[in-house]
Amino acid sequence: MRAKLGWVVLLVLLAGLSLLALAFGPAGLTLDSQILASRVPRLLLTVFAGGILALVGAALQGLLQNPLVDPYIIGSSSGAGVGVALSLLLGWTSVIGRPIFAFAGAVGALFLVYTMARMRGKVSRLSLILAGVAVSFVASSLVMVLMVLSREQLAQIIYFLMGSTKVVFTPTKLWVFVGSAVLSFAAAGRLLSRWRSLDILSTNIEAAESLGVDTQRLTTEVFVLSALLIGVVVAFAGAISFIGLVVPHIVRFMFGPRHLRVLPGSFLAGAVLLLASDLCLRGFAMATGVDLPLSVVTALFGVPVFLYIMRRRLA
Amino acid sequence: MFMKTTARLLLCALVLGISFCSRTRNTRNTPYKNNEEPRRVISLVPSLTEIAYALDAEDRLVGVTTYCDYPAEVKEKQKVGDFLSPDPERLRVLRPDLILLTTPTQAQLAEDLKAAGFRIAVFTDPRNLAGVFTQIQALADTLKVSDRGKELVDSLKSELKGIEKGKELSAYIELSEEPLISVGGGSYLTDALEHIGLVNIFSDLSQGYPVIDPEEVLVRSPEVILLLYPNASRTNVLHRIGWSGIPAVSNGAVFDSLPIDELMRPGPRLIRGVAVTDSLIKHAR
Amino acid sequence: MTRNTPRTRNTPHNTPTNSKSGFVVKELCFSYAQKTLFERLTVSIGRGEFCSVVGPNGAGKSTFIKLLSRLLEPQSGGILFEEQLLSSYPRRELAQRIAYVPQESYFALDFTVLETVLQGRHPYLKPLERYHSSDFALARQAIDRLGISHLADKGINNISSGERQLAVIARSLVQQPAVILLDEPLNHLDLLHQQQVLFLLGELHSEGMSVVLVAHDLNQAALVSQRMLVFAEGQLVEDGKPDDLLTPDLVQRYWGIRPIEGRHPESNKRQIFLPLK
Repeated sequence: MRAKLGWVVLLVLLAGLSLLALAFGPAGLTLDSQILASRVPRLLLTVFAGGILALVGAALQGLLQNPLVDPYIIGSSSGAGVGVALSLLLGWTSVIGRPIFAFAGAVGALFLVYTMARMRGKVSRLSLILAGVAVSFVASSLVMVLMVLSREQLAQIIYFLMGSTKVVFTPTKLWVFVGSAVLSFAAAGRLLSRWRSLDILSTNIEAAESLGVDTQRLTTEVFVLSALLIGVVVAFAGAISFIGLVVPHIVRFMFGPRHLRVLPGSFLAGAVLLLASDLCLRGFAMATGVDLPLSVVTALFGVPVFLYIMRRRLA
Repeated sequence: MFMKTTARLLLCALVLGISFCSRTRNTRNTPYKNNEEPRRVISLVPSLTEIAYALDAEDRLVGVTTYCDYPAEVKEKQKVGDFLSPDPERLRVLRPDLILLTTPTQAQLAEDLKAAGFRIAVFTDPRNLAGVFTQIQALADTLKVSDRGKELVDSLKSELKGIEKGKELSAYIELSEEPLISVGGGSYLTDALEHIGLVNIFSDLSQGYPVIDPEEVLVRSPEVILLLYPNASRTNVLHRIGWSGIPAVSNGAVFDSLPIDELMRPGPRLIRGVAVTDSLIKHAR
Repeated sequence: MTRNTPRTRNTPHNTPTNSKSGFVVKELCFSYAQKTLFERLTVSIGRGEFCSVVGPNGAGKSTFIKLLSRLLEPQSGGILFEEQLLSSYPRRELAQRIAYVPQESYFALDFTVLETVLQGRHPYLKPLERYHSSDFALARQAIDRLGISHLADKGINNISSGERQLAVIARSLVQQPAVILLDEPLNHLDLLHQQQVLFLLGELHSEGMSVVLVAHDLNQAALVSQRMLVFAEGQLVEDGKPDDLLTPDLVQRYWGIRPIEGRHPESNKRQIFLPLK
């Protein structure tokens, strides 16, 4: 019962790491309500970001039938980057200004990719990937240009591109985040409800269609939901890499390919991985005073596990 | 992906540059060795450009960077690009007899320009007020206007003396909100603000401008918070979750309308900036 | 190899048929990539028929059954299925009535054979519904019927392509369809499996299922089917009993070689043999 054990392990890890996240920090183990209050939003953001990134990665890998797909391939993170760069340039950086701009950028990129991918009223998986890559490149170049124009905020844009969960929250921002998170869970739930169709989509399109799966509608739905979910994550936490790419593979290795297990499993595993990375980051910063980019740590964790799985698979 | 790689490279460059600040032990201060007065000078350092103007030596300047924006007259000078990668064509066209750079921020650029045959003068990024004064004098010496340099330094020093040092307060200086960037011991700002009684809570960090964990601010409990970035909002900081226990927040000692331009450049306006900051804080006490 | 110009012949078929149900194709026009394939094709396939579809390569056999299964849409003309426009059926309902077995299947994810076959129950389940024990029972039944029970828990990509094809056929069985459309299903199968499938199709037919089988092998098609549709260059050129059609003349006309005729020892049905020169 490898699967059951897997769930237990993930839940235990999630609970354990969450407690650790509340107990661990420069202030040490403390019951100070202020310190705890400042740790909770960070914990929520980390769990949310890690979980959603991994879940979307799994859904997109299933949809596009490509194990090398990363959730940013559909262009929404680059779009969010443009949004953030614009907000910095225009000076609209109120507490919720940046998330709104980032999300708007992500949605804009989504529209662009979808429009480009449509050929004769249909979208195909390949055209989505190609359009996503094209839009990513264009958006990245645009971000570069904006970075040059907004010299003082260079560090901020670069930092955004790296992703970070060390975000300071005001009550307003927290409410906006919680609201977005709730909506995101609704969207994720919708994705999950498509588990069987996603399973079936992993065979030829004709077979899938003949089994009653509306591949066009499914493609559009998964694509749109994924883009929106990524938009929310990137709006608050920046572009954290690796989680979306690596975690689904780990989860499939543990639970098999059924999306009914892979989607929620990826959420848990993604949250766990990001939490672990964030804790390491915090510990490292406390010990050395150097702040590492979050994506570096996730890579350090994720890549060895990924390589191990690949070797097991190919053996 | 492509974008992330370039972003990482840029960040590495910044981090390396900043970390070099803290590890460099030998001060590379190579004044222009020629006896002649340099007549066609290109300044690739905004603070040095300002100093040149303050020394009344701006007629020597034939080129500046796009970041050089003070005083207003500098608009009329030829721009050669940014301070990390100026346009070599434009440099050549201006036929400079000297190019001004600082270490370690522009260490690599200095090597490149030297190899390309330009005559360069390299100054050290100041790490404290003494360093700022030294830099002013060094530039004055290089431009062969040592007397004016001494004048300027003396007047700045006396301006500094004129500021009455108030009670010592611990201070947190914020340069950016997302991510949280503060000032470390490696920056001249720490020393400059100490002169008005503000002790930087992050002075133990050797970097100049470290990214910090917000909880560190809670732990170090500053009595004053300075927000040194445009569009800073005092109310936002006062409302941050978990920050209400900080003395600065509970006393409302959070300042957002500060002379950012003056403080952020280690040049002649720094002292004035410090003075303005001091009076703003004194007012609030 | 020379081909004679095909002649359109609309010979009415002799097998008794309930042409009110089943497929009624009317004046179908279909083209793709600027190439016109079918022009005003008209044919009916009644309920409970076992029809084979044969013809040389490029004749449009695969396209024909894709049109029947609504995987492709005609440019003009219509198809009625069970007296209703094929295009009017909701997807899920159509999948409960028509099953399609493609020529080749690939599987990007490594589901087990059982999981793959279970997917055939999709048309009967609502989005959030999990598989019921009845679904599992049907799946196991189908797997047993196809003789691959020993492979039930193996990964779908860890078995031979022939066994994979059997799994796909099992999957279409659990759809409990009224019609099963197969596109050259025997291609990668070894003799044992070929016989198995042909036998199974015969059984399904006797249980009342309509079978439309695109076949490469004329002999096999003749053995199992009651009616043969011959396509050549986008036209339905012959339509009748296999025994009437499988003559050396006809084969030469459409395939370009003249076979030696013969009879199957058991059923005495017409067969053809390839000459050596």
